[in-house]
Amino acid sequence: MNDLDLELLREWSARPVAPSEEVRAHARARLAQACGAVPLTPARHAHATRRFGKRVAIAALVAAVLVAGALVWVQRQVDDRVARIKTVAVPNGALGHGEVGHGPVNILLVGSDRRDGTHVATFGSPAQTGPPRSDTIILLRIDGTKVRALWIPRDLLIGPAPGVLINSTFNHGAEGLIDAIKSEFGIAIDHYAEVDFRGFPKIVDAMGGVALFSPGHVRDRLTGLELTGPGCRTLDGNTALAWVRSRHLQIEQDGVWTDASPRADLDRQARQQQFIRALARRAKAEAGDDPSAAVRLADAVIPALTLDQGFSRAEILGLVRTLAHVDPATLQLGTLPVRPAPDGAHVVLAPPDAGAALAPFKGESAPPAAPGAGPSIVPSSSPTPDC
Amino acid sequence: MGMVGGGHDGDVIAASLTEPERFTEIFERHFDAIYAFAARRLGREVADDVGATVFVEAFAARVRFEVDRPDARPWLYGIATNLIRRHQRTETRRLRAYARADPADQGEPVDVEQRLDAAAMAPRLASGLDALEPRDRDALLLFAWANLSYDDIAIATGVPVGTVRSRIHRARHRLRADLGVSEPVPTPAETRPEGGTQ
Repeated sequence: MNDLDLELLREWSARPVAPSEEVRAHARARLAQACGAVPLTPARHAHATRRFGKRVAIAALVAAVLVAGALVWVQRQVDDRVARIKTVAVPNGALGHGEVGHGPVNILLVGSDRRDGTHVATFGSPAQTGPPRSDTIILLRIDGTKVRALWIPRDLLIGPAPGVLINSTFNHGAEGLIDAIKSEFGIAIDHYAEVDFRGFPKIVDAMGGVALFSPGHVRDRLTGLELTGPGCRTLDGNTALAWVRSRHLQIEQDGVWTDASPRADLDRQARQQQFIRALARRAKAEAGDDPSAAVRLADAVIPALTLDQGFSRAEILGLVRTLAHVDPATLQLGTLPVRPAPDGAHVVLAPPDAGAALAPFKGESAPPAAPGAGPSIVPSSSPTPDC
Repeated sequence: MGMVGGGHDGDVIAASLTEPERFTEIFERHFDAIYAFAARRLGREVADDVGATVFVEAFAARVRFEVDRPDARPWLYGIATNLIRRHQRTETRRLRAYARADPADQGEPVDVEQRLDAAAMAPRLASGLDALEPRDRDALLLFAWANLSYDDIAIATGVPVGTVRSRIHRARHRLRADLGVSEPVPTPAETRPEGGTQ
């Protein structure tokens, strides 16, 4: 009696319903017509290998977390959960007065995978906590519905020659980095946020995985990543992280493993942007569909975030609203153009492209790229199919 | 229809990326089951079109199929479910027609004898199905009629398995109330439906 409902349903449907041969033939003919289509061939064209793929990957992860988190927050239980976001004090004067929802705002995002579980508030006392780790530095600009993210290489040298590592300004707290960005780039930061990457696999898993297009049988022997293909694969959190962070992706062709980077459809940046869109779409579908999924997602995203204390509730909600309405395909993601420093180990700004990439963060429109120069903002279009 | 050609569904779909005509094997393997599901929900007339459209759409979207998966059914049922949604008014009309078959029966207590008679219960069942949220009804019928496991339904509908579980539980809870079953929905020990009709 316990499964009466199911038994009745099954009995109700027990009458065989086979298509007539005529119906089957008609359907077969419709498919045959469609199958006359041209075979799918993966888009491929030669492409220079980009440096700094790992950190771009992390930048992409940050953007993904924001998008995913935003989509979640806009759903249920916003009030309750916003109150749980960790905050950190940034000394007066370091931050500008830009407010989300009132004109353009620059946000400094720092990504870390700190193992001690402490947040940025402890940065002022490195002796107690060990040196802070900032794996990623990203400038994020929100202007109306336009969202732009620019990755700043961690090993960028700034200041008078021979210069200091931009990353080292972080040793004295977030305000050191904020000041350096102001003095070096002329960019005023209005808000500060930190993202803990260790939360990433959980976020992806909370969404039931993310479907990504694998261009073939690929592997990364350093991370143990291996995917078959070509085709879509649902990646769990750890695999997805390995996929976007992979620096030594190889693809098997005719039994031979070759470096996958030269191929555009395997390019790291394309993978990361593919990942962002996949994650954002998944988050949208999840959170829009099922309140319990939204809560699960929020619970995975929020512990990974720390915001500056000046971030008002109204601003957080405004940010959420803005990001929730951003079409993931229109996110402007790029890296600050740099060239090798004389010491060979670090990098320095590469004008004029660097200036063009930074201009939008000062409210200036980006000047047209010099002839022959590469794009300062990498377009977010991906040559790989969406899944 | 038996197996045509070699390899599991994923292999065949992977091959169809470069040899489109291979996709007809997927049709031969699964058309009858997909057709039957559509026909049960929408009637034969609409199923003639929906059944064929599922495979045309699946073909166009085959690049998105995860070719590691040996079984294309969850994916195909997912496409079918989306198409059936577009015919929701047809489904509603059908269910209401069944429900009206014996209006006197509505809401009356039923004895055990009667409970086991699916024909007698059809009106209640139909009105119960009609009252469900479309998402809940989709999940329940993929379970009870298409014989998919919870995991398969998660793939078909693109939501986590926990969501599938809660949808089916909600649907069954509601349906049991309409059927006059007072016991709570049993917690499924396993996520694979028993028996089946296919």
